[in-house]
Amino acid sequence: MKQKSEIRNPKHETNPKFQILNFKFVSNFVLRASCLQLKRGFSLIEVVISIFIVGVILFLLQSVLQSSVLARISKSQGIALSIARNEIEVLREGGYDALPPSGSFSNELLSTIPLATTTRTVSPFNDKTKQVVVSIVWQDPGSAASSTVSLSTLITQPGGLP
Amino acid sequence: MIRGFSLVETVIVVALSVVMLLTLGFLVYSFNESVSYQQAIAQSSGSADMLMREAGSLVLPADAVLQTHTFSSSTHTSSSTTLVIEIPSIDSSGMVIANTYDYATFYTEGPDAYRLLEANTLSRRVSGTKLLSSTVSALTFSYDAADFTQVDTVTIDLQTQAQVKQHPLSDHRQEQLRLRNH
Repeated sequence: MKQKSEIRNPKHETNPKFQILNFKFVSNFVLRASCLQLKRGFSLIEVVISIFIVGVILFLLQSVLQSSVLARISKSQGIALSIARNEIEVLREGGYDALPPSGSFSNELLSTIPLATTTRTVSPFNDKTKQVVVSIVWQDPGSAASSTVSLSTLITQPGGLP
Repeated sequence: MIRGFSLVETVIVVALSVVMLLTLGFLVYSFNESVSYQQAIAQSSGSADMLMREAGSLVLPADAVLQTHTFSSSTHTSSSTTLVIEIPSIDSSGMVIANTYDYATFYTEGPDAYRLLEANTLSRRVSGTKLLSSTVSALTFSYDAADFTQVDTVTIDLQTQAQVKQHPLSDHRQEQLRLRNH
């Protein structure tokens, strides 16, 4: 009987040598795996990619906001140009003798431009000619620098310029 | 070894995705808002600029405001809403052609403002009707004299209005123009 069973299952008894090796291998693997799990963080590439994605989104948002500021500036610019043209036209109509001194001027549409200030500079150009510079400076909300529209013209006495 | 995601990981990922989606949604929404706002500005402000420029380019060289003039298709009469002017014709080098005139009128039909120009055959100017703005809410001409033959200064007051969703976006221009050849 003993012999028979030995013949039937010759490898039923575990080899002690193999068992030790096997145990060592398994315990080593478990140890390393748990070590890995404990130390696992984000890799450099993952961090770089996520920062990149967040950056792209912020950039898009910023450019959208910026474009509406630009649209507002261009609207104010149209109004300012119209006001400046009107002022030049009024001064031309008045003629050389009626030219007012330098200073600021008013227009009922100025209130539609944010924080607008106006300047009119009248300076002698030559004996019978004066140079007039009309400028409007304003500050649109959201823009870093103020914007300016400036027009200039020469106004002469009869026979002033050839 | 089969590993799944833990609950905490899943929750964090879902939360991050929701935040991302909300941000993107907000981005797309504000982008749309901004585009329609800019289109409305281009419509109202841009067309106001265009009308004032066109008026300037024809009123400044004009020599008279006409009480009435019969164009090939219709008759227009100057009033507070219509301006009819007579402009000396110019040749290809910009010189005035004696006793030859072009006629122009500015008028509105509902929210549309048109310029109708009828040029002499010798003139460099090109005849035609031009739609200047389709967002006009008020276009008013005022004159410095009641008698049109005496008028040498025209003041143009223009208000345009475009609609951005529920918000009206209005624009106001006012310019005085003197007829240089009067």
